[in-house]
Amino acid sequence: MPFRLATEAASLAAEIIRARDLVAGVDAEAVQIGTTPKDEIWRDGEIVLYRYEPMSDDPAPAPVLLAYALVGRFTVADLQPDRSLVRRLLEQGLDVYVIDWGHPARADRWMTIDDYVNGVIDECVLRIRDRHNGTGINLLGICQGGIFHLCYAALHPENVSTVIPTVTPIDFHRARHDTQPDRGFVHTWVEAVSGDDIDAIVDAVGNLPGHWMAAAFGLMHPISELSKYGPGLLEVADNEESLMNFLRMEKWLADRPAHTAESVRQWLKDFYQENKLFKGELRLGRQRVDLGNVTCPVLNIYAEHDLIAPPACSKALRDVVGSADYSEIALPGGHIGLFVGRRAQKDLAPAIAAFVRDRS
Amino acid sequence: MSHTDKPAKSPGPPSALLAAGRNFWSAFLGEPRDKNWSPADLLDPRAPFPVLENLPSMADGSRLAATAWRLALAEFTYVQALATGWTAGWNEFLAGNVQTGLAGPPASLRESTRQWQETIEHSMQRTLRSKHYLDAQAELIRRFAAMMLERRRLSESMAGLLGMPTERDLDEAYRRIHELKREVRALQRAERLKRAIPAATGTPVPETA
Repeated sequence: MPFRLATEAASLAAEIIRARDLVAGVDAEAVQIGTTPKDEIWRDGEIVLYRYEPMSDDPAPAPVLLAYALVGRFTVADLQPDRSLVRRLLEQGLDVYVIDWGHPARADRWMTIDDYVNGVIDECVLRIRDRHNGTGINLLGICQGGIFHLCYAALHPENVSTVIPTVTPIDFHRARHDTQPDRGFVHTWVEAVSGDDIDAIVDAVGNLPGHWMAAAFGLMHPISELSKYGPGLLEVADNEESLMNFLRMEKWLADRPAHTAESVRQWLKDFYQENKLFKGELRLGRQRVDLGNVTCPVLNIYAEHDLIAPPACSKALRDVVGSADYSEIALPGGHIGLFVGRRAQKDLAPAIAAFVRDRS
Repeated sequence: MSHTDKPAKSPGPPSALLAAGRNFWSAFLGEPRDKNWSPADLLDPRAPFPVLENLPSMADGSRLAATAWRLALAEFTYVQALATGWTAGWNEFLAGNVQTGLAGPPASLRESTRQWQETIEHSMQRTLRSKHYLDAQAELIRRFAAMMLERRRLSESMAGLLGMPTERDLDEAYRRIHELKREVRALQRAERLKRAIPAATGTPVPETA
């Protein structure tokens, strides 16, 4: 036994040396994400509307507007050429636009969810419609971006052709009944503090720093997070391609914008704590959001192993949406894996493209 | 309740320096029970034994130090809560290894490492849902917010003394700019809708609730 363990230890040492040499040889500039060519259409400070350069000779007639959550960057949908939802959609002939929320500064602390939905998204939709002869827009949203799109579709149905929320929680309280031990942590943690505590921390710090949210997500799998650059790195450093894939994901994870103060106040209190969207009590500005007013076709896509937006929270959309053309797709993978995993590349984009084309 | 109480404004010259100094001193000590105390009050014949009256506030020490101390305690309690999961996981791993050790040597170092990671991870995840941890986390958030607000209160007192703008002034200026941008956007939208191409679906524009 001692000889076998010594042999294994020597083999491990050799792996560590090989991994060290491989990592040391990586050119940081070579780790690029979000490389699909796009053009700037409109800008308001840090917020930018882009249009991706078309890739197909058979374009679909209806444009797609992609919106990610405020807590991360849209580049996860375009991580690298062979793991890019955006590229797969372009190859399917869709005309894809994306909103880059940018990195909010202190001056943006007063941005509310109303501003994002009825201000920014509305501006983007109207500009896209102007470019496409007034055609309704297909709204593709990821997580919180899906909620923004659903709210927009409820308040401005005349501008919307279809809504495609992905990994989007609707009933935030359904996570309470989830028995899987590593699922729904954010729900548990937010519900354990009071609304007054949330007001206090937002009043004290203003915009919620991006690294706080990174720490919260990392805490869901603390040991995996700690060992990612140790044993985890050894698993991927056996060849350059795996290592570069790992580094691109790390680059995206490190790029966490702040969450503006007033939007995070409402996000944590109205959505997580009081579940107002599902209950039909959410107000954006002076308008009440009733998902029953979402009457356009809806394709709800969720991940079977989603730990951040548990599937039950996403599937709840079917109980409140007003659309007669409602369908769901469950795909294997997690909250992020849905977009960067191999199955996603094969199944997700064709499903979205077929849905959009059939209803154009 | 929102912690946005505005501090008292300093009066203009010639008594500005004395008033600002008094405000800073009372802010540093913490609010006395009944009034803003200052060293000058020691000589006030209308208030018998004013020093005795304000001794509890003085004995409390500076509010900043007390707030910082409570934050440190909350941090310690939080780390302690995390450590219970870590310790429980280690005990579970070691107990498991004693069992398997009796049956024979570990399959491999890699397998042992994987088993360790899995055991500690599950133990930590149980801890992260426990009441002990959730209470510690909530308290840490409260104490951190209190510390940040206390820091701001003192910096505003200093800024008042020096005649400099504060974070609050800056945020208020940003808020007004933001409101103006909203109004401009609303006007632009109204103008655009007047010229808009009719909707493809023909659905009428809903009225604002």
